[in-house]
Amino acid sequence: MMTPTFPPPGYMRTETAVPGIDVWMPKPPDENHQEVVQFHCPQCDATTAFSTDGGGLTCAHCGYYEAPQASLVGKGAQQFEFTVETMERVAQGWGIERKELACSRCNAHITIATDMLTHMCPFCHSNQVVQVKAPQDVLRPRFLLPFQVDGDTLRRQTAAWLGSSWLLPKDLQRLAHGTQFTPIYVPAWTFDAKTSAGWKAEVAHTRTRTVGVGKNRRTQTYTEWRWESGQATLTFDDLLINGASNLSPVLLNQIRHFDLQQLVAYEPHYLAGIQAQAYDVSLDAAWERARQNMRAQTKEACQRQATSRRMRNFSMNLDFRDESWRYILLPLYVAVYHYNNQPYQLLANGQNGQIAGQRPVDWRKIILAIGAAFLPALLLGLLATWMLVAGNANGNTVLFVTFGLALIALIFTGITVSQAQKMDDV
Amino acid sequence: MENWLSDWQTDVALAACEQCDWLYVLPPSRLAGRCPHCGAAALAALDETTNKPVYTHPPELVLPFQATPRQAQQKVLAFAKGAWFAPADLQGERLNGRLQPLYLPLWLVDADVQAQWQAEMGFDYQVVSHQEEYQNNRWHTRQVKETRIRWEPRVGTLQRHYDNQVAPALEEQAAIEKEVGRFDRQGARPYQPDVLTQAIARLPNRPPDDAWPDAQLALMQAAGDECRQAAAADHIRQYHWQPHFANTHWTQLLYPIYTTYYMDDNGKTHTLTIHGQTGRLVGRRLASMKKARRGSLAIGAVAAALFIVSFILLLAGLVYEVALAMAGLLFVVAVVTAVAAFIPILVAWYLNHHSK
Ligand SMILES: [Zn+2]
Ligand SMILES: [Zn+2]
Ligand SMILES: [Zn+2]
Repeated sequence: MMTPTFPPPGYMRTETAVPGIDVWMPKPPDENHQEVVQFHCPQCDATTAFSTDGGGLTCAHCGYYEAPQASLVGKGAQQFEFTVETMERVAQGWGIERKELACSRCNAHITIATDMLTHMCPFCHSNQVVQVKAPQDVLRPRFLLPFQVDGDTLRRQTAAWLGSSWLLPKDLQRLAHGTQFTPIYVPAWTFDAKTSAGWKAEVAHTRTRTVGVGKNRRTQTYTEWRWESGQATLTFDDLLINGASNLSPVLLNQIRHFDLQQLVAYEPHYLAGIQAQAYDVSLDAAWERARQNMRAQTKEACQRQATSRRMRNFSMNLDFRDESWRYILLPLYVAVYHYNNQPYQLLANGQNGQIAGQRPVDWRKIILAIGAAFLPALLLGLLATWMLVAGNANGNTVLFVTFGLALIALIFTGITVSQAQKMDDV
Repeated sequence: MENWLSDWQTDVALAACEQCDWLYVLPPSRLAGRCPHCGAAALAALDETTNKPVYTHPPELVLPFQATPRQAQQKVLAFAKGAWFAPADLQGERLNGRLQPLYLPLWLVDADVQAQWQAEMGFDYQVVSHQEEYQNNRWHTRQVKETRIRWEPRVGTLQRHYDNQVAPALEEQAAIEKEVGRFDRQGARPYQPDVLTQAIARLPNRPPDDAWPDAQLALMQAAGDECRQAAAADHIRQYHWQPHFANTHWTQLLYPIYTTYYMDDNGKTHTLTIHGQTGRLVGRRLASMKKARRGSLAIGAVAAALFIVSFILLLAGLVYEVALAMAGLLFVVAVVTAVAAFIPILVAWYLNHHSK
């Protein structure tokens, strides 16, 4: 019942409000906060970095390898509540503070912005992980998804991706092999919540009735509005909201399928040699966006319950419950390749290799293809005109076929252009 | 054996109730009366030198009566007045004649405590939640705050003195408190022998040794609450301690009640108790089944008479058709009356099973 040693290990004395009573509490876990963690090789003293194919630390100089000690937490990773305290700290923001750091390897003095979590000394190229002191402990990154795809795999996938459509120039694939992929960690927020809603609306029902007499007797359709109501509850699990404002939301959306079962507890060695950004979309802004998303989905669920989608005077109320959040880092690869002196940006999911980005569409190919599609219709059209002028009775039939072919060509054009647009324009 | 009753410094006797075993110290004039607890017919005077109770010392403190006998009598009158089918013995004046002031004992414990303790302390904190309303194609958001409790472990030491922690001096203390209510211990006065000129005092049946575990529980509760304050917490649970006690001091406190009683049809006594401070009366107001049965029987007789008359009219109806209609009407009245005959019994039964 009572611990034999007193105070128990891991406890520290704390304040008391009653004389004669002394109080001990558990020591907070993060007592030894290291501001900068440096990585160098125990064998040759060169800089070590996180290896994206093995998951450990490697020395590029002598080949030293330190096996990973991951602590997989998955979706069970701790989630935090929206306490008034946290939300007030969040509202204050961190400010664009810059930090003066002295490199412990070469003693160079460098200034870095606190929105970067990692840093490489420009003088001695040593990898350093800056452990940012957040305004509150929970606002440090606590979990991350480690890189599971390496650059070589990614280059192969890029080549396939660039060669996957006839709309793209032929020589594009070759470029993929030279593309340099830079791994970076980007910040993200995950949100959990339950919504429970009640709704009511006037729903339209189409009815028919017979009016008039004798000759004027006819059926008429009319709309009958009937009140309907219902309840809906939705559970949201790990809704992902981007924490970096400088990333294209369109591209990010295309590669957003991260498997959060692979979440690990944050350790500085995951960040060694990899760029990492702190969030600049604050918790409350991200939560606002997540809530908008959740309530839109809840509204949709409510409206689906109505017996018809045509309705008026729709109203609903919605309660959020069990809300929680997490701040995590997601692994991404960024690459830029040049085609015809134009830079094209690529983004890849560092966990599953999904690729998104702008691709240079060969518009000449497309114009030629569209022209070719319309050619049969054009020729037949000329034939039909000649036949009609000549008084041939089959002219009308040929004209119909011409219209049919033209329609097919038009549909083809629409599909092709929209596809090309998607590739070209991000 | 010494005459310990002399410690009470006034002329008192020792008596026991043979029915409920309560032991009283009382003025000799009250020896002839009934037991103020169970109403048993006679108290048996005991020889104090041969029958030594488990605890014999006079009390140190007494809570005086705040409800006067007059106020208590008025409560009894009001109680007796509102009774349906009251048993013959349940009459205000009669009950007031039996009103008996009575003191019951309670322990107050003082102690120095030294302890190691551990507990889970609860700290209130607030979280922000949202409620939304969609109307006229627009969302309206409302922020709501919710209080939650964060539990954290704490351990500590304690060196404190506690005064006047309550421990029961009677086995029945919990039951009495549940029935009669709590007493305000402010305003206790040192024992004066004259409190026993009219009133009866009950002797403790739990001496300090026996009540000590309960006293420890009270001390632990007081200490737990102080530890919670020390840790600036809002709540506490899972409090465990290893205490050492020193300088424990026991005080006997008497608290005041009035009792009276009435007998039901079967001669069984029912006690009424009045809180000596607030004047609140508790007790069951039973209805007399005998009276109710008599009422039902009277109405039933009327119904039977009506049946007979309606039957006669029915026979007459064979000759005079007018009588047939009268017979039908009377028959209906007779049935209604027969049903009504059950009402007194049902009411009495309900009162006896649902009165508290
Ligand atoms: Zn090395
Ligand atoms: Zn350096
Ligand atoms: Zn008795």
